[in-house]
Amino acid sequence: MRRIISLIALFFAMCSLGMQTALAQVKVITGTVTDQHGEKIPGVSISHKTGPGKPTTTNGEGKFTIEASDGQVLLFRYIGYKTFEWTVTGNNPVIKLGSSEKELNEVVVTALGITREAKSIGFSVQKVDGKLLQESHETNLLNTLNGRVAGVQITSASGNIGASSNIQIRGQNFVSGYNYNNSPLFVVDGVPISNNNEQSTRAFTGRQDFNNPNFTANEGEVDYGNAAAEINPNDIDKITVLKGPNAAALYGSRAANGVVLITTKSGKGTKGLGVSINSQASFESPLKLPDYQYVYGQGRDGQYSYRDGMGGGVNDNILENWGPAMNGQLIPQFDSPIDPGTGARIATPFVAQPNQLKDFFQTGQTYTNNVALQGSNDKLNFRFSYSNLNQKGIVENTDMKRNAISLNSGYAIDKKLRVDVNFNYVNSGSDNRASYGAKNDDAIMRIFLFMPRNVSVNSLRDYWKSGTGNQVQNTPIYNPNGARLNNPFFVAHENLNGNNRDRVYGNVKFTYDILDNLKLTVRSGRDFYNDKRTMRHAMSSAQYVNGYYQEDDVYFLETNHDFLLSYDKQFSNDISFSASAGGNLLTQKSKRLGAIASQLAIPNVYNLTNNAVPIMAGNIYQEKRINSLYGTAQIGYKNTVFLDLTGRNDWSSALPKKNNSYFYPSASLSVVASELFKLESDALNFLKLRTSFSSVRRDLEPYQTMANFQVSQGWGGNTVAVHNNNYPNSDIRPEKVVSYEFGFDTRLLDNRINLDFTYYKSTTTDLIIPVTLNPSAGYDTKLMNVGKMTNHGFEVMLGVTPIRTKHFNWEVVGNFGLNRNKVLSMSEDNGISRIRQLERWASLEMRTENTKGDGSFGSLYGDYLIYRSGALTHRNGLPQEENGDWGYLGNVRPDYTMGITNNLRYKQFSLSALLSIQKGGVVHSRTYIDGINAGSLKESLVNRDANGAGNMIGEGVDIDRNAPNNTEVTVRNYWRAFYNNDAIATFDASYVKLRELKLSYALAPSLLEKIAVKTASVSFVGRNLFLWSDVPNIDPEVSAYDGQFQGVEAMSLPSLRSLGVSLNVTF
Amino acid sequence: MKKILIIAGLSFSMMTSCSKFEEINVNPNNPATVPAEMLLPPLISSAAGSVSGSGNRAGQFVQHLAWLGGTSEEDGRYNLTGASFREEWNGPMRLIKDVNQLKQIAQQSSQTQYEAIGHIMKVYILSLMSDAFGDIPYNEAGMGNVQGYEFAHYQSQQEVYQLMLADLETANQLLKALPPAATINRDILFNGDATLWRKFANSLKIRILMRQSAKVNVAEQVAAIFNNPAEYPVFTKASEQAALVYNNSIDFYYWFIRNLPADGSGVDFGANSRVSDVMVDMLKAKNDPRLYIYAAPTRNSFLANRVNPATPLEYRGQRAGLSTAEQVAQDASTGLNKDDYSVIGRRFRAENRAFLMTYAELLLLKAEAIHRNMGVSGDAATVFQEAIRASFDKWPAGAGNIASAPFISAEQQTAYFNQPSTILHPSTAIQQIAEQLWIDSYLNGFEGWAGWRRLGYPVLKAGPSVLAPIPVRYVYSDNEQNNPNLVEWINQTMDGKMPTHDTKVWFQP
Repeated sequence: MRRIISLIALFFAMCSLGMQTALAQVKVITGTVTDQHGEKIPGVSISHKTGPGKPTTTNGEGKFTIEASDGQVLLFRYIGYKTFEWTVTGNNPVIKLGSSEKELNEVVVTALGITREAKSIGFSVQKVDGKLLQESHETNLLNTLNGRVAGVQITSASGNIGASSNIQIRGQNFVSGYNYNNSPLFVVDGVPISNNNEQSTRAFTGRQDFNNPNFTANEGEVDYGNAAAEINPNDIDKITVLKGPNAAALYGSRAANGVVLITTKSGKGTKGLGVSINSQASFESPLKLPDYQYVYGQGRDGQYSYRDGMGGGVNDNILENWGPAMNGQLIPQFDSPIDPGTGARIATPFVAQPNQLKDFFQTGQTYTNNVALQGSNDKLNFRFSYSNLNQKGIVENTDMKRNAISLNSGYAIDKKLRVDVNFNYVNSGSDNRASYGAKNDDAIMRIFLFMPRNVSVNSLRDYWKSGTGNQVQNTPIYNPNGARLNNPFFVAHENLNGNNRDRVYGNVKFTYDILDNLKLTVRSGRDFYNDKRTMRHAMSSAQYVNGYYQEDDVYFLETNHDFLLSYDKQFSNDISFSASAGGNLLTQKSKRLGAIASQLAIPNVYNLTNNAVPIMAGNIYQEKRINSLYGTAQIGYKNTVFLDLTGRNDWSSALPKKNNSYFYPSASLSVVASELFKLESDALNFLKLRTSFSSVRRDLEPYQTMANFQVSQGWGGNTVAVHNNNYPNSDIRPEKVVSYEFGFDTRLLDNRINLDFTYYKSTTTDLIIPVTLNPSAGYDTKLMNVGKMTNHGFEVMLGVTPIRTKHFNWEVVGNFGLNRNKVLSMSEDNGISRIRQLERWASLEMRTENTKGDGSFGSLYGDYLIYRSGALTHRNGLPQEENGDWGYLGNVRPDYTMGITNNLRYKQFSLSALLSIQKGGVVHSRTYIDGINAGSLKESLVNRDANGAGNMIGEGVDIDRNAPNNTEVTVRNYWRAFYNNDAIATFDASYVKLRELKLSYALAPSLLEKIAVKTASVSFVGRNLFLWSDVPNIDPEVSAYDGQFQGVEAMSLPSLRSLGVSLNVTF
Repeated sequence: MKKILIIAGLSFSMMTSCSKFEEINVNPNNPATVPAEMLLPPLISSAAGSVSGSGNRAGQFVQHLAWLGGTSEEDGRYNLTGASFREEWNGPMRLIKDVNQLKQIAQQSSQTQYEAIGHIMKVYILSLMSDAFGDIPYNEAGMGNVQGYEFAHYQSQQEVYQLMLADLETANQLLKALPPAATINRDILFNGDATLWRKFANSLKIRILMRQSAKVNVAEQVAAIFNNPAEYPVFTKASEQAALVYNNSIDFYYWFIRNLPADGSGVDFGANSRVSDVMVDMLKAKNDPRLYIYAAPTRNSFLANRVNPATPLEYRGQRAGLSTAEQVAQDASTGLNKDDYSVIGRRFRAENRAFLMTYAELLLLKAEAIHRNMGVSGDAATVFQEAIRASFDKWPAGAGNIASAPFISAEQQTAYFNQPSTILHPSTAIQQIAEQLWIDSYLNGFEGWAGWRRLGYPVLKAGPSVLAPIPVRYVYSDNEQNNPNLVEWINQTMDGKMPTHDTKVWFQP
C-alpha cells in the first residue's frame, strides 16, 4: 500500500516537473552516515533537495534506505553538523558529516545509562575523551581529570605511589561522615562503583567515625588510596561529569555531589577483529623539595660532639640543626671512624652534606602495557583488554603493581532481546608503600627535616648497627628512652606497608524491546573488593622500639539490581514524549578484620602469634540497603524545547523507621533558542538555554540510630565496655540539598567559538553532623540535624579555534570554576556556633559569619603571634603567641580554579599544553614550622653567628614592662618561639602549574596502509612540569594524610614531575 | 509484558518482604547494653589515671616534683591557658557518661551494689574536678545523650559538695542494705569487697567535709561519722585504703614502667620530672625514711656507687620554676649537672600503684578534726603518729633487698618516731598535719595541692622565673570554655571573667 502511494506521489511529481528530463530510473539506495571519525550517526534526516521523494532518517546503526534516482540531490541534515548535499551516484555511499564542526549532536549518557542528545539536556554536563586520560599516564584515574573539568577540584594527596586523590564538584555540600561523602558517585556503564577511601591507620584525631575501627590511636601512617583510582584509563571510552545534584536526582542520594559517568570501550563499530596495543613508560622525580640550609650542622646553640647519639656527647641526641657552622673543623661525628682502642669516634671535618634528600630519592618509574582485542558484527560486539602496570616509587623499595582484565561484550539474542556484559577484574598491590604524617617517624620528609646536615646519606645505607644482630638500626640519633631518628633506608627496607587487593566489578544487562517504542532493561551489577594489608615495624623503629605488626582485611561489596521501563512516542511533528520508570535495590556490605601485635616477642618475625603484649584485634560488619522507585518523563516540542521531570523515592535502612522513606524530584528545561527563534546565522551557530531545579535527600552511614557500648579487651585482658563516645540519634532525618542552575551553550563565528556557562546555587539543610559537645556532656559528639549551608558559583567552558586550516589547527580550551560557600546557620539555639571538622595543629571549623572567620566552610583556625598596635609582643625576650582563643587563618577553598589547554595540530603532529591555575585559598605547612624549629630550613639562618650560636633581641614590645623589648635570648630560642604558631605557616595557596605538555605524532594513513596497521601514534608526555607559587618549600596542591585534610601539608612525599612516552598501535 | 509484571512484582515483593528492613540497622558490632560489671574496670582505672596524671601538673604546682630548668619552661613558669588543662578536664569529665550508664543499668537490673559504686565513682571523679576547677556541672554532667542536656549547667562548688555528700550517703545506705548474695565482679579496686566500697564512701565523706571546713561548720557531720563506725564504717588499716594496682601493660602507667634502662637503676634517669628540693629537703630534715622510696639516688652517685660501693648514694631535689639560664647558672655555681638530681624512685615505677585515698590521709584528717575540737573522740597526737605509720605501711618489705626494692624497716620507723619533732604539738599541729598530708600524697598531685591550698602548708616559694604566683586553680579546658551554660554561669557569678589559675576556688580560705 505504502509503495503504491509513493509510486502515485512519484508519478505526480514527475508530471509536475513536466517530464523535463528523460525519466531517470528510481532506485533504492542504502548507505551509512558517519561523523568525521567514522562514528555512525543515528537520526540524521535525509530529504530530496531536487526532485520528489519521501524523506527518511538513519537508523540506530547510522544506516538509511531511500528511494532516489541518479542525479538527484539529497540533503543530509543533523543538528550541529553542516548540512551535506550528495548527488546520487552509485550505491552504498558513506556520508561523512561536518568534518570541521563541533559535535553538537553528541549523545550524552545521562542518569541510569539513558543516552540523550546533548541539546535536550537541561543541566550542566561535561565530557572528557578517554584518549586524554590514557595519554596522561597517571596511575590514579582522578588525577587525569585535574584541570580538565570546570568546577571540579581534584587534590592529589602526595607523590607517593598509590596515593589518594580527592575529588569535589561545586564545593562542599555535606560535612559529616567519611571523607568520600563529598565525592561524586562513580558509575561505570550504568552501575555505581565505590570510591571509598578506607585507611588502616587513623588519619588524625580530629574526627570521629562511628564505625571506623580506628585500630590505632596514633597518627595516620599509610595511604592505601581511593577506590576509584584503579579504574583502568585504557578501558575508558569517555567520562561524562554530571555536575551538581540536578544532573543526578535519578541516581539517588549518593549522586548529590554529582556523578562521574564512565563509559568503557565496547568494541562496537570495529569491523572484523581489531587489536590495539598501547605501551607507556614514564619517569618521575620530585617537583619541589624543601629549601634546606646546609650551613650549620646538628647540635644546639653552636655546640655539638658525637659520642653515642643518646646524649653521651654534646647535643648528639637532639633532632636539631642549631649546631656549629660546618667549616670543616674537626668534630667527632656519627659517621666518623671509630678508634679501635677507645671505641670513641675520631674527629673528622665537620662539613655539609648537601643533597641528602636528592641522593636518597631515586627516579620513579611507571610502565603500563595494554593490549585489547575487539570486534563486532551485526549481532555481537566485544572488547577484551589486559593491562599491566608496574611502578616504582621515588623512595627505594616502594612499588605498586596492577593487573586488570576487562571484558565488555554485547550480543543480540534476537531482534528484540539483547544482552550486554561488562566484567572487570583488577588485582593491585604493593610490597611497600611509603608512609606519611607530620608525627610519623617513618615519614621520609620528616626524617630529612630532622636529619643532621652533616651526615652523609651514604653512611646510612648499612642500616643495621653492626653487632646487634639486626636488632638496632644504625642511625645518628637513637636513645631507647629518648629521642630517636629513623634511618630512611631502614624505614624503606624494614618498615613495610604492603597490600594485595582483588577487585571485581561489572554488570549484566538485558534489554528487551517489548514494542517498537517500549523497552525494558534489567540489570544487575556489583562491585567487590578485598584488600589484605600488612604493616610492619622492625625492632628499634622510632615509634615502635619493640617492633610492631598489623594486619587489616578490608572487604567491600555493593550490589545493585535495577530495572527500567522506557517508552517514547512522537505524538505529532511537534510533540515528542518519552518516559521511564524503574526501581533499584542497593545493598552495601563492608567488613573489616584487623589485628595488631604492638610489640613483637621475637624480633623481626611478623606473625600475629609473635606478640609480646596482648593482641589488639577487632572486626566490623556493616550493611546498608536502599530500595528505590523512580520515574522520569521528557516532553519535546519541535525538537527544540525539552522539559524533563523526575521523581524518586528512597527507603534507606540507615535511617530510623519514621524517617526512612523520602521523595525527591527534579525538573529541567532546555531550549535550543537558535533553532526555535530562527536565530541561526554565520555569527551565531547555536544557542541553547537551560535551567533546572532539584531537591535531593541523603541518608547516612549505618548504625547511627541506636546507642551502643564499645567492648574491648581492657584491664588485664578482660572484656570491658564503655558507652560509645559518639552518641547516635534515633530521630535523625535525611539531609536535604535543594539546588537550581541555569546556563547557556552557544557556538559562534562558524563554530570557532563555543561557550558554555552555568550558574548554580544549592542549599543544604538538616545537615547531619556529629556535633562536638563540651567534655562535661560526657560524649565527644552527638549526631544532630543542624545548620544550613549554601554553595553557589559559576562554571565557564570556552573553546576557541583561532586557526583552522586543512593542515594546521589551533584550539584553545579553557574552563573556569568559582564556588562560594556560606554557613548560614548552625544551631545557635542549642549553643552550637562552631563545629570542628578536623584538627591537626590547625583546625578546620565550620562557623557562621557572626563568629570569627568568613563564615564559610573550609575556614582554618589556629594560634598566632600577638601584636599590640603593630608591635610584636614579647615576654622574657620571646615572642608571645595566642593559643587559647584561636584566630582565623584563612579559607582553604580557592577563590577560583582554571584550566587552559592549547591544542596545536600540524599535519600528523599535535602538541597540547594544559595549565592548571588556582587563585586564592590558603595552605598550612607543617614542614615550615617543624623545619624552622629544627633549624633545618633556610628561614632559620637569620642572626646565627659564625659559630652557629648567638643571641638576639627581638623587635617589639615587652608586655610585662610595656616598653620596647630589650631582653636578649638565644637565636635558636627566639626563632623557635617566633615560628611555632599556625598563622605564620599559613600561605596563599595560589599557583599555576604546567600540568601537562604532550607531543604526539600519528603515522599518516597512506603510510599505514602499506603495513596493515590501522592507526599508530607516539606521544611524549610531561606531567607537572613547572610550578609557579609563592609557598615556600612545598607544592601548595599537596594535602595532608590521605587527601582528606585539604589545605594542610603534613610531610607527605612531594608531588612528582613525570616525563613519559607512549606508543599506540591498532591493527 | 508478562516479564514486566514479573519483575515489578518481584521487586515489590522484595521491598515488602523486608518486614525486617529496620533490623538491618541494628549494629551487630556493638551491643546496645552490657552487664554493669563490664563498665567498672575502665571507669576505675581511668579515674585513678587522673590521680596519677595529676602528679605532673598539680604535683608541680605544689612542688612534689619539679622539672629541670628550661624543660617545658612555659609550664613550669605558669604560662597556662585553657589549652593547658585539656587532659585534666576532658578525660575525667567524659567518664561521667559511663557512671550514668552504670547507675542506669544497675537500677534496671536491681543490682544495688553497682548503683552504689556508680554514686561513689561519680563523687570521687567530680570531687577531684571541683577541687581543681571550682564550680562544675554535677547534676547534668555526662548527660549529653539526653535531649536538652547537651550543654550541662554549672553549679557552685558549695552546692556540689552538698550533692556529693548526699550521693555518698545514698551509697552508704545501699551498701548497708545490700543482700548477702550480691557480688561485685571485675572490681579492680577492692576485689569485690562491698564493705571496702562502703568504707571508701564514708572516708571520702570525711575528705569532702574537711575540704570545706574553712567555710562551713562541718563538726557535727565529721563527728557523726568518726564516732559511729557501725553506721559509718571508714578505713581501719592501710590495706583497706583505695589504691589501684596497675597490673597490665596498656594502661596509664605503662609509659612509666616500660623501657627500663639496663643499668640496674630501675628508673629512667632521662625523665624530665625530678623530685623537688622542697620534698627532698623536708624528708632529709626529719630523717624520714620515705626519702629512699620517693626519690632515686642521683644518676652520678648511682653510677659512682656501682663502680665503688663505698661511694655514698646521693639524693638531691630540683628547684622548681627555673628558666634555662637560671638552671645553667645554678649548675655552674654548684658544679652540678643534670645527672645530679633525683628522679622518682624505683618502687613507684615497679609497683604502679595509684592511691585514690589513703588510710594515712583519713587519719591525718581525723587528727585535724580532733585538734580542732570537732567532737571527734580520740587523741590527736596518737592519731597523728598512727597516720604517719599508715603512710609508712604503704611501703612494706617485699621481695628483694632494700637496694632492689627499698622498704621502710622497723628500725627506720623506730628511729623516726624517736625524734621529738615527730610529736604533734598543739601550737604547730596544723602545719605538722598539713606537711604530712603533703608528704603522704606524693604523686597524687590533686590531694597534695588541695591540702596546701586549704591549710597553707608546707611553705612553698614559687620559682624565680615564674609569671604568676603558684596557681590555685585549674583553668577550664578550652574545649569546655565555649559551653554556653558555662559562659552564662561566668556572667552570672563571676562578672563574665573566666577564672584564671590565680582565682581561688570556694573552699580555699
